[in-house]
Amino acid sequence: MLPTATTTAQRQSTPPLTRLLGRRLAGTSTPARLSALRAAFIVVAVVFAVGGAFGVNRRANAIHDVRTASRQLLALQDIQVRVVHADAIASSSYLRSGQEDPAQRTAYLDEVAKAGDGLVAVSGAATSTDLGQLSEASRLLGSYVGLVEQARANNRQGFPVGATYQRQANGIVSNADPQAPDIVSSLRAVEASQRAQINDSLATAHRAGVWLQALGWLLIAGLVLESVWLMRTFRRVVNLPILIAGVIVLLLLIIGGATQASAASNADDAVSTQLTGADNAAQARAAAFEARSQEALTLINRGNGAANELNWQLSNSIVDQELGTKLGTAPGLIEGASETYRSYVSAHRHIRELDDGGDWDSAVAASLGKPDIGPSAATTFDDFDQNVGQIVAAEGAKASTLLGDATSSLGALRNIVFIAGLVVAALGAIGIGQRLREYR
Amino acid sequence: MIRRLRLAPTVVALGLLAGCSGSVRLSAAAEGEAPASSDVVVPTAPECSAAQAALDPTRSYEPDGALPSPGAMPAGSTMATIATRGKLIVGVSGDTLLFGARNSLTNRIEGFDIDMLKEVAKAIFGPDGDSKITYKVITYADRLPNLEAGPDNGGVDIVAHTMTINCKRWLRIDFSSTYFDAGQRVLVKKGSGFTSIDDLNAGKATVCAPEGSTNIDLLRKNANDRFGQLVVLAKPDVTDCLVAMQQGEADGATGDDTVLAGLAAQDPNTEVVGDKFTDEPYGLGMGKDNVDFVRFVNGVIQQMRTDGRWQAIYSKWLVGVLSDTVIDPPSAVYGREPG
Repeated sequence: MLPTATTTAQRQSTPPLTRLLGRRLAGTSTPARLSALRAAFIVVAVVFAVGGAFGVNRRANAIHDVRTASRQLLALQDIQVRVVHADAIASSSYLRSGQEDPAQRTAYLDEVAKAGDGLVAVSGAATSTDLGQLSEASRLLGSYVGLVEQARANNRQGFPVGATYQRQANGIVSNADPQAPDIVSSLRAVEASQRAQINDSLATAHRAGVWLQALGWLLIAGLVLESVWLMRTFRRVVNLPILIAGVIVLLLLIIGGATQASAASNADDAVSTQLTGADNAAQARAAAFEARSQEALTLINRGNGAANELNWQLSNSIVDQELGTKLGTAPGLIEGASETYRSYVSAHRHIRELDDGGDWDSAVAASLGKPDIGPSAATTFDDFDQNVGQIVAAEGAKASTLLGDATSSLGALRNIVFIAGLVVAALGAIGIGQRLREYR
Repeated sequence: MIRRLRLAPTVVALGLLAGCSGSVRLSAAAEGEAPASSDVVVPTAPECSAAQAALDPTRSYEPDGALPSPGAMPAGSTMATIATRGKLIVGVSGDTLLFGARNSLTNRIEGFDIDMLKEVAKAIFGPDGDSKITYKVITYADRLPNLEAGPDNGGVDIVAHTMTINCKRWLRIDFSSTYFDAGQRVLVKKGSGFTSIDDLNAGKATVCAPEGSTNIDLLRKNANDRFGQLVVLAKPDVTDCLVAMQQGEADGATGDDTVLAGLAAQDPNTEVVGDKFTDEPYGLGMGKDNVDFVRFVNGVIQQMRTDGRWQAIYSKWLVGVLSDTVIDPPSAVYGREPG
C-alpha cells in the first residue's frame, strides 16, 4: 500500500465511531495508529480471555459450592436421621426391659457412633455460626447417650425412675420448648443455613453467565470497528486473521453460551428435582423416626401418653407433607414410600386402639413386632425406612453427579475461553501486523 | 458480515440464557401442623368456705348396708354401668415404687394402690375382676381432671394414686374413706447434713415436689414464713424430683413418706429424713356425686380392714420399708351427706 492511498483514505467520509477514533489518533502517523490499535486490541482480547474465563470459573465455582452445600445438607440430615433412629431404638428397647434385643442394642450404638462421626465430618466445612450449632449438637449427643444409659441401667433394675431418664433423653433429641436446646433444632438450624447457601450459590451461578457474553460482545464490537477502519483505510475487504478471530469469538459465544446454559440448567434440575427429592425424603425419614419414638414413649408412659401421641401426630403431619411433595425421579420407590408409610400408620392406629382399649400388652407386642401377631408397626416401619432411605441415597447421588458434571464442563469451557482469548489476541495482532508490515 | 448478523439473534438468545437469573430455590424444611391438644381442660380450682374447711375432710359416705354380690350390681347404679362395660377404668401412678409402678421385668403395674383397685374390681366382677381393669397411668396434676372428665370422655372411674383427701379436692371429686395414713417428709442425699425440712429451709436449699400435689401446695402456702428460704422446684412427677436430685438440680425432694420410700429404694445414695410434718390421709378418688359408687367402695375397704386383706397388702409392699411389722389400717370416718 502506498502512502498516497492512505492520504486518499483519510479524506473519505468516515462513520462517527471511526471518526472519533481518527480524532484520537489525529496528528499521529498511520503506522503509529496501527501500533496503537494492535496494542488496544490485544488488551481487549486479553481482558476477554481473563474476564470470560473468570466468569465461567465463577459459575463453575458457584455450582461447585451448590454441590458442597448439598452434600453438607444431606450429611446433616443423615446425622439427624441417625440420632432420631437411635432414639427410636432406645425407646422401643425400653419397652423390652431386661429382654433387650442384642441386635437392636448394636444398632443403637452404631447409629450414635455414626452420628458422632458425622458431626466431626460436617464441622470441618462449617462456618463459625454453624460450628456453634454443631458444637451444641455434639454436646447434647453426649448428654443424650448418658441419659439413655441411666434409663437403661435403672430399667434393668426395675426402677421406674428409668422412664423419666428416657423421657429426658427424648427431650434432648427434640422438644417443643424454644428455650430448651435439642439436637434436632441445632441440626435443622445448620441445615437451614445450607439451604440458604445452596440458593445463594445457585443465584450467583446464574449471574456469573453475564461475564463471557458481555466481554465477548465487546470484543466483537472491537473487531467490527477495527475491520471497518482497516477496510476504509487500506481498501481491503478481508483481513483473514481478524476474520478468523471474529469466527472464534462467535463460536465461543455460541458454544460457551450453550455450555453455560446447559450447566445452569443441569444445576437447576439437580436442585429442583434430585436434591429436593433427597431433602424431602430425608425430612420424611427423620420425622417418621421421631413418630416411632413417640409411639414407644406413649406406651412407656402407659395411658399417660397423650402429649406423646400429640407429638406423634405432629411428626406424622411432617411425613405426610413431605411425602406429598417432590421425592425425586424413581416412581417405584416414591409409591413404595407412600404405601409402606400408610401401612405403618394403620399399624400405629391399631396400637393406639389396643392401648386406649386397655390392652397394653398387645399394643406393645404390636409395636415391637412379635412373630405370632403378623405384620407389626416395627415391620411396616422398617419397610418404609428402607424405601425412603433408598430414595435419599439415589437422589442424593444423582444430584451430586449432575452438579459435578456441570462443574467439570464449565472447567473445560473456562480453559477453552482463556486459550481462545489469547489466540484471538494473537490473530488480531497478526492481522494488524500485516498492514503494519506494508510500511516497512 | 452478513453471516455474523444472521447469527446474532441466536448468540443473543444463548447469551441471555446463559446469564439468566435462576428462579430455582430449595424450599425451607417442613414444620408440620401441631394437632389440637386433647388435654383435659383444668378448671379454676374452687376454694372451700370456712364452714367446709372446718369439717373433717376424711368424712366420706357410709356404706349402704351389705355389699351387693359380685356380678349382681344394682340396676342403674354406677357399678352396674361399669359391669356392663366390662372394664373398670382406673387412674394410677406408673412410677411410684411400692404404690403404683411398672415392674420393668413383667411390664405390669403393681403396688399397694393397684392391689386396692384389684379388690374393688373383684367386688364388681367376681374373682377374675383384676383382669378387667384398664390402667391409665396419669401424673399428679392429671388426677382430678381425669375424674372430672369421667370414663366416657377419656377420663377414669376411679383413681388410686397416693392422693391425699382434703376439702378443696372434695369440691371437685369424691373420696373413699381413708385407706392409708401417710405424712410429708423429705428425701435428701446421704451425708448432705440436712436432717429435716427446716434444715433445708435454713440452708436456702432447693427442694423439689410434684406440680399439683398437696406437698408443693404446702411449701407455697408457707413461702412467707416457715419455708420462706426454700427454693421450690416443681416437676411433673415425683420421679422427676429424684432425677433432679441425681443431676444436682435439687438438694432434696419432699413428698409423702410412702412415695419417698419408693424413691430411696431406687437410689441408695438418698435417704428419707425428719419427722412427718403433715398428715396425708389417702383416699380413692371417684367422680363428683357418684355417691353410690363411693358407698360401694367404702364397703369394700371396710371388708378389707376386717377380713385381713388390707393387712396382707400392707405386708406385701410396706413391711420392712415403712415399718417392721404390719400396722393397723386407718379407721373409716363417715357422716358426709350428698349435696
